[in-house]
Amino acid sequence: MGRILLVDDDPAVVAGNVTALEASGYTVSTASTTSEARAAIGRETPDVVVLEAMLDGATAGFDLARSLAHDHPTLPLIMLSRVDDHLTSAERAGQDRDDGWMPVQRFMEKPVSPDVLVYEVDHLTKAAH
Amino acid sequence: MFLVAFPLAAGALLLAIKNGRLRNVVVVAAAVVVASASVATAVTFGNGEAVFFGLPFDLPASLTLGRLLLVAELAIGAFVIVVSIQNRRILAPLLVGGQIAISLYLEISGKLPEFDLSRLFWFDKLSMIMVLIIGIIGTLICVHSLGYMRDYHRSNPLIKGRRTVFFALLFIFLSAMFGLVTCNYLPAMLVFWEITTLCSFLLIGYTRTKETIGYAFDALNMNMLGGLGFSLAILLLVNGNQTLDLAELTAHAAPAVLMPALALLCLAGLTKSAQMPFSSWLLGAMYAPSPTSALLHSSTMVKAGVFLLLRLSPAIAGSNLGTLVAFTGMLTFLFVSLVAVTEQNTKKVLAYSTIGSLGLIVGCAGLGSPELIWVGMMIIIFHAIAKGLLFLVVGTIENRLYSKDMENFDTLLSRLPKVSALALTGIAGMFIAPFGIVVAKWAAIRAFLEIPGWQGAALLVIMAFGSSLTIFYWGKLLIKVLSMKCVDDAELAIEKRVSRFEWLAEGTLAAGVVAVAASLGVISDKVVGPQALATFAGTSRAFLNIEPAMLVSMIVAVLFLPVLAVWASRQRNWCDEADFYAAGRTTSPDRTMGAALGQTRSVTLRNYYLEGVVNGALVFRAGTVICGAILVALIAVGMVGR
Repeated sequence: MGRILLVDDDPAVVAGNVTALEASGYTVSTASTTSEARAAIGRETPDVVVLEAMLDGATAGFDLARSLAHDHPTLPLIMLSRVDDHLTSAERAGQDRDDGWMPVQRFMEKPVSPDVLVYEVDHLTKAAH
Repeated sequence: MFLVAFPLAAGALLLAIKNGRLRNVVVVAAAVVVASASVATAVTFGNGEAVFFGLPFDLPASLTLGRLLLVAELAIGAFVIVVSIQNRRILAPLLVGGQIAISLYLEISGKLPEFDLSRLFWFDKLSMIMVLIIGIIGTLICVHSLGYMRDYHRSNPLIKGRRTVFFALLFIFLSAMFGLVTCNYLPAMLVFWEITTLCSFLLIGYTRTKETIGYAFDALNMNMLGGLGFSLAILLLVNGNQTLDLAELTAHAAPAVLMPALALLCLAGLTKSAQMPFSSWLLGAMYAPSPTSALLHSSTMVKAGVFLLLRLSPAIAGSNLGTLVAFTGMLTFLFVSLVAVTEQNTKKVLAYSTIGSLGLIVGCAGLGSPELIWVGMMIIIFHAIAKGLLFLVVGTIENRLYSKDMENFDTLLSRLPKVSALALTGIAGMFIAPFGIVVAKWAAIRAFLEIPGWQGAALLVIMAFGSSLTIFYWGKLLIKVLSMKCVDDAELAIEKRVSRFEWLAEGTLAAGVVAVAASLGVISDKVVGPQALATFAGTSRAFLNIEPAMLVSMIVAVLFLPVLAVWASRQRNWCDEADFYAAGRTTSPDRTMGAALGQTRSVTLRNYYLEGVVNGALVFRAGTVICGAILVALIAVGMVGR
């Protein structure tokens, strides 16, 4: 099966998702900062990256997603986030656009059931092959 | 007339609006106007006998109605051909080409008989029911879409949004539906019919992925096939010097000479209402955004199919054609109910249930008697409101939990308590008295008993088995929604993200479910009953004797689960409950157990989908083949003219 990179700084979320993904047969590696994530991708390109929008104490996950989409256009990205609690209503309205506000396949506000995450990852790995 | 023109104008205006906030305002304002206008129309014209009326203005001499309709058809045809060429499809252009050829032939040969323009529109209580459904439920769904589509695009950023087109299509669709259900001139009805097909096609293919474009073409092909049947029926009627006036055509039991045309019109009705063997397009249509499923593929457009069949009912009742139509509907109901039990995707369960409910109406229309027409119309009302609500709620859940899988709806009551209460109202509206299934089925069973011979008995058996299956799948969904667990603040916050547009639409529909239950007696006595008698010229009688005590107990039954849900979700002591306990020898910490004969099994807690017992795909294919055979017989019987 595929290789998944989980980028998140919340150990509880990572633990739950790693268990669910491994139970479905994926090989999972993890990173908790943007630099760790870049290093992991440099070593070996995963099949899907699941990342949080807020890393390193700010919204660095957004920048990571943009640069990954630029450098690896075919690499599927899923963003799991709790960013809504930190955005102003104007910032949220700015995301309400028809032309795609983020270069990721799926954007999901936490909490997301691990089963749903596995389903989305299955969907993306199947679509890629 | 205003009802046709205004949404069309609103649609055109929405095409020009790119700004999100302005669009919200325009959609809400247009929805309010359309809903009020439909109520006003119903109040003005719906009180007495059926009325006929024409256009409010005179057509210029050079522009006859025939030419106007031809231009519309050519435009539709040209569009279909262009889109098909872009996507390299061959069937749709052929079907639409056939239709255009027929229309051109009729116009050029000058064979189209003069039509009395003052009878262009026909408004009776059946039209009134449809106008109210389209005007109220339809516009609420448009409002709901404002919230739904925003969240949809946020969750799927790579799908290119085309919301200007989306909302314009919704309103153009409403306009065509108003035209379709009030129209009395068959060629005009065909144009409205084809516009709804086209809207459905464009909305299913909204995301423009390869998958959805495929499903969109499935829907287009099958509906265009029905449209071609409709055109051929018009051609046969014209060649036979018969009337194109729907009210005249269906005023009496039809003579043999009309049967071929009626059989083709029935074909059109069956494709539109997704009866087997044409059911597959409606399942593909579930890939459209959820409000589309609620509006086109549940509350209104598929109802156009059964609307036509109910209109034709007096003409085909008692003939072999009518009986075959009835069996197509009833067998479809039985087969899809069985398939629905094996389905885990909630939207598809709703789709199967929709096809089943439509099947019941088709069954009623085919047999035709005042009682059965009463049943058919009651199911139209109940189903439109309750199923519309359920589709919207599932859309909301999908945007919050990111899943349509029933298994992921576990403990919904704890996670989304208010949404759950709305979902429970919808489910109650599907199978708790007095709704659809109970009152209507009770009446249908009574009517089937009066049918002599084996047919009545066979229909009774189909009804009994089919209904028990519907209880099975609703029960499974119910138990998923009703389960509870301990939730933390983060999970409770999910529900706060539901937009106010969605709350408004779903709340109003839920209130509507209760209101319809409460006014059951009035609806039966004042609207549905008189219409059923007018259709079949029966002796006056009450179809439903409802006592106040019974009515109150029904309303209590409908409200019981939602109220219980709200109460239960307020209880915060679920965190004290122990996790479930499974007996057996645990082999690893992650819930694996040693089973008999040295096997190891993992513990799961899920619904039973009859795996290994019923193969859903196989049942679906079997139903398609059997109903396909009946359809061939139906056309054959029609052509022979008996």
